[in-house]
Amino acid sequence: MKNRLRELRAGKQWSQADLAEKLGVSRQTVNAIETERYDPSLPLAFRLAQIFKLPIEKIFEAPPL
Amino acid sequence: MLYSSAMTNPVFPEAVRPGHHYSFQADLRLNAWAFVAVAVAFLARWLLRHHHDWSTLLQAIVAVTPLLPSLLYVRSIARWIGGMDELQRRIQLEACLFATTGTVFIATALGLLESAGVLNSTRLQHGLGWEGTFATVLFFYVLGNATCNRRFR
Repeated sequence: MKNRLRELRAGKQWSQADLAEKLGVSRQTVNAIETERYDPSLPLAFRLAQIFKLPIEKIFEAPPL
Repeated sequence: MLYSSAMTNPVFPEAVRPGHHYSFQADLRLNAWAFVAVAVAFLARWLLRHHHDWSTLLQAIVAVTPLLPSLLYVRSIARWIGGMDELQRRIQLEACLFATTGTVFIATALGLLESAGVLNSTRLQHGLGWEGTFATVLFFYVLGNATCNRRFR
């Protein structure tokens, strides 16, 4: 799933490790989401939305139906 | 609930993987029951070899004793995986599924070869055995883990 995670993280000047620590996941997970090789669970997507203070749909782009 | 516990108290595989955060204590905590299972298996085998006079029931109990620490080892592995973050949990579950499927495949293939008479007078004519099963599971688990980790690296 396409997402703006890398751009949003860079905007906050956080490293992947910083974001991973805030999320309580491994850096590998953050990297896999950023490179769009892994789609996060709904709770993790909500946690990302809370951290960036954005609605989920502003972070993740829904695939076309 | 499982997810929230993983989020508040994550267990990363680095804790038991040689590298930056390797911890012998974490390694021991995770694998202690495996060491106990191996020790009990050797002890049970030794006892059965030297006590043919025991009743069948007692021999059966001694023979399956290693299964108890093995089950406790499975429980500690399940808890370890349950405490991981979601990507690592997925990787570990895929590796475990790969190991199980691979071992079942090998065991089934051996059974078919045995019924065809191909394995007569070889060490494999009675199946993989305890050590063979453990080694096969370990082989497929390591292979599956490496493949899945590479995919999400």
